[in-house]
Amino acid sequence: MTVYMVDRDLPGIAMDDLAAAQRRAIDTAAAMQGQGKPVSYIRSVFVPGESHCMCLFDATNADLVAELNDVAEIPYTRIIEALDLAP
Amino acid sequence: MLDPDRYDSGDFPRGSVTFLVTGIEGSTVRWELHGDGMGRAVGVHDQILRRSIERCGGRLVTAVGDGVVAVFRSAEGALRSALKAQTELAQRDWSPLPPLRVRMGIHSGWAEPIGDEYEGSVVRRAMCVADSGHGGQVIVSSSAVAVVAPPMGYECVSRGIRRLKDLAEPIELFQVIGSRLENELIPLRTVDESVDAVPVQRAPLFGRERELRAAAAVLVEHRLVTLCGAGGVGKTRLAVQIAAEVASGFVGGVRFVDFGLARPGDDLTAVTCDQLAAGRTRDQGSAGSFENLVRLVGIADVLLVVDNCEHVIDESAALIERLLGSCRGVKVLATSRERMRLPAEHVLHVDPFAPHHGPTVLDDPAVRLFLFCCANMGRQAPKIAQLPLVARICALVDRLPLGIELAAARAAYLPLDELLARLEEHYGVLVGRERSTTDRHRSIDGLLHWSRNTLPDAERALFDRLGVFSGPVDLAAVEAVCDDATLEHDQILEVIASLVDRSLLRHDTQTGQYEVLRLIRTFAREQLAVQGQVPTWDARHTRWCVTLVREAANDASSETTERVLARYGTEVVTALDRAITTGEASIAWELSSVVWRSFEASGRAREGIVLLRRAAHLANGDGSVAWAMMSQGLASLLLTVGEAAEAVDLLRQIIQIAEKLDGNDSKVVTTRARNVLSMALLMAGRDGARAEAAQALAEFEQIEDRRGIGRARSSLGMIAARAGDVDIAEDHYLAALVAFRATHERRDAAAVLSNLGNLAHDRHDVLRAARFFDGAQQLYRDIGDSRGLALVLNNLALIALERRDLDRAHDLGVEAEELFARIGDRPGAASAQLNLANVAAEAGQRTDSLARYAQAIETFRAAGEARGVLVGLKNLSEVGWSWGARTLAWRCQVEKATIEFRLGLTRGLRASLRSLADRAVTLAHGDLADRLLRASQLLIGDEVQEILAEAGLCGPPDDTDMLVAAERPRATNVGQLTSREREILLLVSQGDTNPEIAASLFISQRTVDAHLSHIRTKFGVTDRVKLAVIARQYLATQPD
Repeated sequence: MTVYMVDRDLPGIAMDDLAAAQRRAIDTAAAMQGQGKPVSYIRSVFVPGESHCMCLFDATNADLVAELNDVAEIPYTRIIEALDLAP
Repeated sequence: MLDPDRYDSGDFPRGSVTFLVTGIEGSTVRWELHGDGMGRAVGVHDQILRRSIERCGGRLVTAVGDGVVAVFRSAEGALRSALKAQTELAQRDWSPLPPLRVRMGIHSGWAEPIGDEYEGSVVRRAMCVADSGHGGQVIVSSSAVAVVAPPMGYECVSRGIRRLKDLAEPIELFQVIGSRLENELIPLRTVDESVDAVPVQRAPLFGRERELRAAAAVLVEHRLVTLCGAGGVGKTRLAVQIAAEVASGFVGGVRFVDFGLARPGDDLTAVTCDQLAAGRTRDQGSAGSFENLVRLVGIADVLLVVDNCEHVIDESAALIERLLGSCRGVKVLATSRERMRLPAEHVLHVDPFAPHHGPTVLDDPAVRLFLFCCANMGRQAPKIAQLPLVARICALVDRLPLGIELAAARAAYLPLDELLARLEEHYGVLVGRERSTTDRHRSIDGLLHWSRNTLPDAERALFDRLGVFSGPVDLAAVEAVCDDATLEHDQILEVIASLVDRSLLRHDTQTGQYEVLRLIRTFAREQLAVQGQVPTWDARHTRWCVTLVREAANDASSETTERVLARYGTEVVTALDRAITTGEASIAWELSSVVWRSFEASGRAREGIVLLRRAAHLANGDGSVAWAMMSQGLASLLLTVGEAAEAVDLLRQIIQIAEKLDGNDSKVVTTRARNVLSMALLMAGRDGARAEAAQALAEFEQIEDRRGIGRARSSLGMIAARAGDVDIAEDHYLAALVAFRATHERRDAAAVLSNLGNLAHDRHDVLRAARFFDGAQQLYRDIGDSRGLALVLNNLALIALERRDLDRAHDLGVEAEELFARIGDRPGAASAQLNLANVAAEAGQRTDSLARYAQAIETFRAAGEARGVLVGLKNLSEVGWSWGARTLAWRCQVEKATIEFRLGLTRGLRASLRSLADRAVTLAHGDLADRLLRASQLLIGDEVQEILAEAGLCGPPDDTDMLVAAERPRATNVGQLTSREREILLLVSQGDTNPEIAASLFISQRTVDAHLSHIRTKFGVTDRVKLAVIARQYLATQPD
C-alpha cells in the first residue's frame, strides 16, 4: 500500500461542510473496501488562511484514490504520492 | 571539442575539393582512463588542428567525435595541413598521458556544400579513408595522390587496392612516409578480403545505427538471423553493412548469395553453389551437390548472407536448415519479406526510417540519403531553404529508402516543388533509370506488382480491400469493412497475419493497429479500381464510419468520442470527404457532428472549417438536428481560430432553428449552442455573454446534464475572470471541477485546473498555481493529451523560473518544446523556446540564451504570431541592455515598435517609443530622444514611421553583438581603423590567409602581419577566428 496526498482548494468552506466532506471520504472508503477495493482514509490537514486542505489516503494505486474522491464528490486539484511521517 | 560555429560560416568551396578527416586513436578508452586530463589534451589537439587547417587555407566543416572534417580548395593544402598537425602532435609532450595519436585521411573529389555541411560519396569516402589508418598515419586516397606531390622529405607508399567500410568500389590507398609520422606499414583497418564476396554498394548506409547494434548482438547468440521488412526498405544494404561490421569476427569470412533471380521450385543448392563458385575452379561432377555446397561455404566460422528469400521462402528455409545442421561453424544472415519459421531463427524487423524529431532537418537520415543521391548524380545540391521540401518528399514516399532513392533520381529532372506536387498526386513518378538495378527495384510500381502477384487469392483480395482505408487500422476495423462471401469474417485474422508476415502490413504491437504504407495503399486502391470494386468497398467503409459515430454520440462520456476519434478519426474524415463529394448531406452532417472534435484536438481547426463549410452547403438544414449539431461543431472550430463574430451569427441561427424542433434533442442542442454562444460573445467582445451562460447553466440544471453544468460553470468562470472578478471566477471553476470529476470528463477537468492555475498565478500565488497546474498535468498525462500537457508544462516551467529552480524550469521547458514540436504546434514550440531562453538568460548562459531567443522569434515569425514576436523582442532587448549588448537591445526595441506601428497596437507603440526615448537619452542622442518622445505623444503615422526608420539606422555606434560583448573585452579604438586596416579586415572577414591578403593588396606578408597586429590591438583579440567574426559584424555596421 502507498500513501497518497490529495490537495484541495476549498475557498470559503464552512467547518460543518469540511466535516461532512471528511465523513463522506471515510464512508466512501469503507464502501469501497466492502467491494474489495484496497483504499482507506488516514487523516486531513486544513490551512484556514489559505483554504487549502491536504488529505492522506492509503491505497494500492492513485486511481482508487481518485475514484474515492470522485464518488464522494469532494473537489481536489491533484493526487500525489506522499510519506506519512507519524512519530 | 572544436566548435565549427566559431568559424566563419561564409561560403564553403564547391566543385573539386579535398577533405581532410581526422580521429583520435583509442579516444573512448582514453576518456574513460584519463577523464579531465583527456579533456585538456583534446583542447590542445583542437588548437593544433585548427591552426594547421587555417594556415593551409582549409575550413573546418564539422566536428565528429574527437575528430574533424575539414575542406580544402587544393589537395596540397590538405596534405600540408595534415603533415603540419602530425608534426606538432608528435612534438608535443603529452605526459602524464600517453602520447595522443591521431589518424588522418585525405580524399579528393567533386562536392557541393549544403549550407555549411557536405553530403555525398566524397566526404563519406574521406571518412572511411581516415578510418582505415592508425594513429600517427596520414592515409591518402588515389584520387588525392593524383593531384598532389608530397613535400620534400615525404613520400606516398602504395598500400594496395582496398575495400573500405562504405562497401563501395575498392580504391588504392597510399601511406605518407616521412619524419614524425608513423612509418611502419602495419595492416590497414579496411574490410578487404573478409567481405570480398559482398557486392559493391551504391550508397553508404544512412541511419540504422540501432539495427546495426541489434544485429551484431543477436549474431553472437543466434545462428540464423532474418532481416524482415517491406520491399525497398533497405534490407540488403543493411545486411551487407552488418556483414562488413562483424566480418572480422568470422575467421572464415563472409559469403554472399542472392536468390533474387531464383524461381519457386528451383534447386537452390545448385544456385548457391553457382554463385559461391563463381571465379573458382569447379568440380564439375558434384557442382550442384549439397556436399559441394558445404565445401564452398566452409565448415568453420563463416557468415553466409542470403539475400532475397521471400519468393522462394520454403526452398530457402529447407536449404538453410540443412546447412546449419551440417556446418556447425556457419551462421546465416538472411533478408526476406517473410520469416523462415525455423526454430533457430531470430527475426529482426526493418522499418522505413522512423519519423525525425531532431533539432535540424540535416540530421534526418532520410534527408541525408536524398541529398547523397542528388550529389552522386551531379545534381546541384538543394538549398538549405529547400530542405523542408526534401523532408516532405521523404514523408510522401513513406520514408522508404528505395522511394527516397527513386525520388532523388527524379529530382535530377524536376524542380523539388514540382516533384512534391506530382508525388502528392501519385507515386508513378518514382521510376528509376539505372540499368544496374533489378526490374522490381526500378520502379515502385514494379515492386508492388511483383509483391502482389506472389500472394495467394485470399491475401490478394484483402490486400486490395485495404486500399479503402486511409490510415492505420485495427483488426476490428478490417473485419467490419473487408469481409464478404469470398473472405469470411473468421478468416480475416489469419489472412491479415499472413500479410504481416510478408511485410505488406506492419503490426504495431503497442497500439494493436495495422499500418499500410501510403504507397502500398494507393497501389491497392488502384487494383480495386481496375476490378470496378471501389464504390462497393467505399460504401462499406462509409457505413462502418457512420456506425462508429452513432455509437460515440450515444455514449454519455465525451471520452468515448475522443477514444473513437483518436483511433478512427482519419477514417471518419475520409468518409466525410467522400460523402460531401457524392452529395450525401445527411451522412455528411452526421459524421461532421462528431468529427469536428478531431480537428480541434489535432490543431487542424482551419482544415476542419473548410470541410464542414462544404458539408453545410450540401442542402438546406432547416429542421434538421444533424445540421444543427454539425453547425455547432463548425462554430466551435471558428472560435478556436478566433473567428468569434462569425461564430456568434452561426450560433444564433442554430438556436433559432433548434428551438423550433421537437423533442429532447432540440433542448440539448439549444442549450449547448447557448453555452458556446456565451464564449463566442466573450471572445467577440460583445454584451450578453454572462446572460447566455447563466441561462445555459439553468437549462443544463433543468435537464440534469452534469457535463453541461460543468461547461456552463466553466464559461461563467472565464467570463468572470475576463471581468476581473477573480473570486467569482474561482468559485465557478471549482464548481465546474466537481462536475467534471463526477462525470469523469478528464480533459475538461484538466482545462479547468489550468484556468485555476492561471488565476492563482495572476494573483502571484505561485505555490497554489503550481498545485493546480500539477493536477492538470496528471490528467493530461493520463489521457495522453500532448497539447494540453505541453501548455501546462510551459506554465510550470514559468513558475519554476520565478522560483529560481532553473534546472526544473529547463527540464519542463525542454519537455514542452519536444511535445509542441511533435504535434507540429509552432507557436507553442516558440513559447517553450522563449521560456528556455529566459531560463538560460537567468542562468547567465548568454550564448545559449541568445540562440534560443533568436529561434523563438523566428518560429513565432514563421507561424505569423506577431504577439509572440513582440514578447521575444521585448525579452531579448531587456537581457541585451542588462548585458551591455546595446546595439542588439536597441535594434530589438526599434523592431518591436515598428511591428506595433504596423499592427496599430497604439498602447504598446506608445510605451515602446517612450522607452526608446529613455534609452536615447542615456546614449546621448538628445535630439532623437526629444523626437521619439514627441512621436509617442502624438502618434502621427508618417512621423512615427520616419523616426523609427531613423532610429533603426543610428543606435549605439560601437558594439558588435551580445555574444561577442559577453566573450571579449570591449574594443576601445575601433573607430580609428585606417583605410588600409579596413581593407585587410574585410579580407580577414572573408576567410583569406595572410599570403592571399598580401597578393590581393600587392603588399608584402610582413606588412600584412604588422597591420593585423595593430587591428588585433584595437579590437582586443588575439584569436584570428574571433577576429574574423568580429570583423564581419563590425563591417556590417559601417556605411561602406
